[in-house]
Amino acid sequence: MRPARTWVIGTVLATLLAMPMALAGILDGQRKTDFLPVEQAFQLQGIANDEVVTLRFTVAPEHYLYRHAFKFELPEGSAARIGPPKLPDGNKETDDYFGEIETYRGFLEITLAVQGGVTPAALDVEYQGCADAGLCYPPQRQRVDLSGGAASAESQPGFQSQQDRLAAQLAGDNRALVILSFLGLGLLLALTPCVLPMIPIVSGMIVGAQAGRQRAFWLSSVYVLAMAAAYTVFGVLAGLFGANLQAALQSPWVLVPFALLFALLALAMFGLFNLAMPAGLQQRLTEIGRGRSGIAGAALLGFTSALIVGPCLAPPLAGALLYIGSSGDAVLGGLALFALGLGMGLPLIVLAVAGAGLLPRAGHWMRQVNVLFGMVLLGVGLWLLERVLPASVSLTLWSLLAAGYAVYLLRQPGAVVFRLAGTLLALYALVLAAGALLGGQSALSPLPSQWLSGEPASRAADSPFTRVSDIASLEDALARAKEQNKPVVLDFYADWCVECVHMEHQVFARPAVQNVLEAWAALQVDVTDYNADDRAIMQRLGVIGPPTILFFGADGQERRAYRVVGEMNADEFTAHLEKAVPQ
Amino acid sequence: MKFRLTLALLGLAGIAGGVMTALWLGASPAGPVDSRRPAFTLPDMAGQPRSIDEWDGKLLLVNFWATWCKPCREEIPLLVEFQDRYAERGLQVLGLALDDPAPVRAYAAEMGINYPVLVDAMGVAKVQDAYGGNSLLPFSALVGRDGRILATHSGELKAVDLRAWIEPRLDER
Repeated sequence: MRPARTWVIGTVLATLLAMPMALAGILDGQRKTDFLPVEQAFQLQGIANDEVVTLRFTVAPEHYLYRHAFKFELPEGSAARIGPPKLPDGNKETDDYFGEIETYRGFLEITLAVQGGVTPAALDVEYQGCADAGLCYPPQRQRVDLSGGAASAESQPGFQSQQDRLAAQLAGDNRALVILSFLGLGLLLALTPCVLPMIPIVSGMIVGAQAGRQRAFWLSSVYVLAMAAAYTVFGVLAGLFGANLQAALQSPWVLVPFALLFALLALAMFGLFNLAMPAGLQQRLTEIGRGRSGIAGAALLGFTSALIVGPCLAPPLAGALLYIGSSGDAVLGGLALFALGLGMGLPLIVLAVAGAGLLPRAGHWMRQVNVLFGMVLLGVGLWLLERVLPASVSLTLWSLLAAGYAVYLLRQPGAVVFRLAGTLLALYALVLAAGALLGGQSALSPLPSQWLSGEPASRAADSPFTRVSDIASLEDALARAKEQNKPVVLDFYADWCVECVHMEHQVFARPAVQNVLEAWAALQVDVTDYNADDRAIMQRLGVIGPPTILFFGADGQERRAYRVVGEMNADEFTAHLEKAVPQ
Repeated sequence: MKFRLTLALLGLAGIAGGVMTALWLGASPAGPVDSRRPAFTLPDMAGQPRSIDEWDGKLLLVNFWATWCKPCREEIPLLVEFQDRYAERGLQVLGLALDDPAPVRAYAAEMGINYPVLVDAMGVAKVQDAYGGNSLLPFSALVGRDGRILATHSGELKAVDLRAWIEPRLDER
């Protein structure tokens, strides 16, 4: 098959596979019948000093405010004086009744000059807005506390959380620079768990293709472009329709076939396709596996890798999704996502080109490299399955994989390095097997922690969190915490979320963290199933995916500026708790 | 060729599956409310107090709206048309405006609103609450000839939905 044709077929296949999910997401997004309470649709915060009053609106996705409906008044008896409001330019629209009007979406900052040097304590703000669903909120009149007060933390430089700040930057003026900065942020993400699993996949592809530098460049570029395209397409859909497709794809129905695909690719590496298999399928798999139809295979792998292999959420990704959701500006948000994807992928291209130069061309060593990458691809498949398998089963499988490779290495004639590697791997396989029996949790630290640290197991294994499963139980739990005058930490978790699992073990299981959390009501939503209840909670709170941690003061109000997206270590987490709600 | 045919079939099956899933997820029964309509008295556009008793025995479509609400304005022509077409068969449209009298009067004249409109921002908000509205506009309630609330709808009414509400209940005794 000529490359051009396979490329077309690969694209078509990927699109067709993606279509039902996208469609379900679109229609699902339109069926929302419950509406946000007005204080969630339009969140208003204010702060003042003796020079200026600053008001910030956070408008929920698919909602907007009318510029002409704003009114600002100092409460009666206030000694302060304020000048006319300064509003940014909104989206210009023509209204059949009001004529030329402007609307605001996403983030809105309004300033009013303070005259006479007296800091106002409060401001009455009138506003009116609607939802795209064809509903309007009646005009609201709200007295905003400008002293900072309970939310004094909000006035500090950390006023907005990182993803909110990034979303606000996208809404700002210098768009070219912002896009560029997303490219940079992508580069920074390149060594996080989002991208790490893509390294063996790309390397495997290059090895399988026996590619030289030039071909390695093309293959990896196509892979990265397809990956960035997947981020863009699904990010835009997710942002516009509020359904997280990455999360939706983390089901056994998707992960198991994918793991099998990697297993087949591994078999192709081992050169085992002379097994009894339909000739057509055999040929096709060999083509993909060995990269002869490489371009199409690379595109397919890249597109799907972004969605299935690395379902992780980092602040830049969340920021771009928030921006798309709240502004409806899919073009700019999509560009940002594409830049992010490219940034994440650039190191992969460099790695592929550099690595291709090091590959042996033929002979014994080439065979060894093929087997090594076959094993790595098996590992990728197993790593995918880990998200849906119990820890003991996946540890057993890791142990078998290590043992299998160890046996292979030990039986190789010649170089002592094989025997050494084989012996080490065999030992590792034994440790893994022991871990599986003793209740270990992960292949990287297979032995249960009390074996290593001497801490009592019961304490370490306990999660500090109480699970909540739907909006009703969440509201109950929040109300109870308010009665007890406790602040709340709310964690979004999923089994398939690599960073979440890591934090469970490395952060939340630590006695030091648990001691600090004693003073808190610690709640957790498990969105592994990503069912309707999960989606409802995420939609209500504007959470894009796990890992996301929310903090509520004892007054029951969320400290949105302190929302955490992505992974944190134990020290950062305890420090963050203290900052979010000073005790 | 065969490969591509398989691809096409797979794709079609996938799309069909997606649609089915979405429809299944989206199926939400809009069941009847079936409770006695709360009574109220509010001023009309001329400032005269009007009570809901006045329209007892009619199939009454109560529409909560305001001039500042674009989706509300968009459904007004439909309501005018329904009032025009079905008044003789027992339908009465009643507008309740969560608004000030002046803009409502001007808008009613401009659009040729052919049914009574009661105006009182505070009062209408309370009535909407009593009728099970969520304080968002537009909101509509259908009151049967026996004074029971037959159905409510939050959001813009579409001609099809309105026809399904109204037509089976015309000419009833």
